[in-house]
Amino acid sequence: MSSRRIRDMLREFEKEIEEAIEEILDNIMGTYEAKPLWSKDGTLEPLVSVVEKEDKYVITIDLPLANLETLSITGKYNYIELRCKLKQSVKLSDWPMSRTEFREYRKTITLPNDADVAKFEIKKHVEYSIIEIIVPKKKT
Amino acid sequence: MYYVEEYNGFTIYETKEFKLEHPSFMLLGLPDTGLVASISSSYLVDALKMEEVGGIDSYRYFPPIAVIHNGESKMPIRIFHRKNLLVIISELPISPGAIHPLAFMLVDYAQKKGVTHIVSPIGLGVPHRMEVEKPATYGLSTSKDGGELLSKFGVKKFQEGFIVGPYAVILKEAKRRKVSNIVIFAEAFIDFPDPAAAVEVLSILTKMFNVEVDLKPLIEKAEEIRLKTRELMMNTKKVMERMRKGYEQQLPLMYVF
Repeated sequence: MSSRRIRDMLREFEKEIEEAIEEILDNIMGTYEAKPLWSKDGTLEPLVSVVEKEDKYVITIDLPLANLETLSITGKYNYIELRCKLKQSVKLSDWPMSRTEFREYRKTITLPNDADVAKFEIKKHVEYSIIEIIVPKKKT
Repeated sequence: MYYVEEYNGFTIYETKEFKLEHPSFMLLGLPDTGLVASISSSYLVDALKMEEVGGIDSYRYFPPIAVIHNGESKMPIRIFHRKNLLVIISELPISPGAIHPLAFMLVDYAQKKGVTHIVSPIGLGVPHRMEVEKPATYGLSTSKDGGELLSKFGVKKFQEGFIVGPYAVILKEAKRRKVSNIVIFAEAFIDFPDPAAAVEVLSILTKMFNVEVDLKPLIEKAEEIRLKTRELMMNTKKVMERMRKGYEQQLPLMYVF
């Protein structure tokens, strides 16, 4: 067995151990993400769901209170960048953590290398303020 | 503190004495698919101006978090009361390790309080939710009386499937202890907060509890609620992945025959 193969196996084993320890700690302490979904520059991070299909990736993004006419999506290398302004700015006045007025959604979604991000298509579900970005996989 | 009880790593506190009228209901607002339970329970508490009478905490199962509301420190799970209704709302998703002890404690508490029906509002994650204008609702009960209540309000029976998470354990434990548990399902987004699904559940709950609640403000504020509950949904989704929530999308063997 080559030394490279042994190194790969050890790295995989280390990753599995890390994931198992994370799961144990999560079960004890709860699986709570500490990262906030807002930024002091006035941007919000939307909720995103990525589903892999046989020949494509379907990215569904929840954009409540967004003005979908200002939606801007670019695909570069292996990521998709989204920006979309809110219909009106939102301020959480009773919450001392943030005095910011939020004006825009912003999100960068990284996809696997087989995603052909230059050929994405968008489907807007205006009634729900949800969009779908369909990214085909590269043909091999 | 009026009443304190330790149970399996959880502590339940009652900070005020209250009298539960009968027949009584205990509505559970634990974060789950579409945050249907969280949104419907919180809206009901606010609309009925229910009194906060206690809470539940755990040094074993919850991280070191204090919830501050209206300038006061609150427990991560809060208990509200009004006449024949108890509502239990959690600010935090319930981690897989905490599900069984919390479920056992809630059923035990319901028994001790003489609760007639435990009510579990659940979002039924459906991939086709965007093609659905009005989420369909279904019901299930561990008791004949609960089943009759559901039929009385025209709720279709949930016939086949899996339920994963705290409500699944509560359902099984309630059945084992012969406590009535009524489960109301509404089709919901799997990964996003779904106030529209909560509206459908509330339209059944308000009839069941015989209370008048205007649901128009919830419909009007739906997008604002979706925006403000993103972080709770993100954490709930992470917990649901850990407990293999995807099982709910699978066909049970019993369905085949």
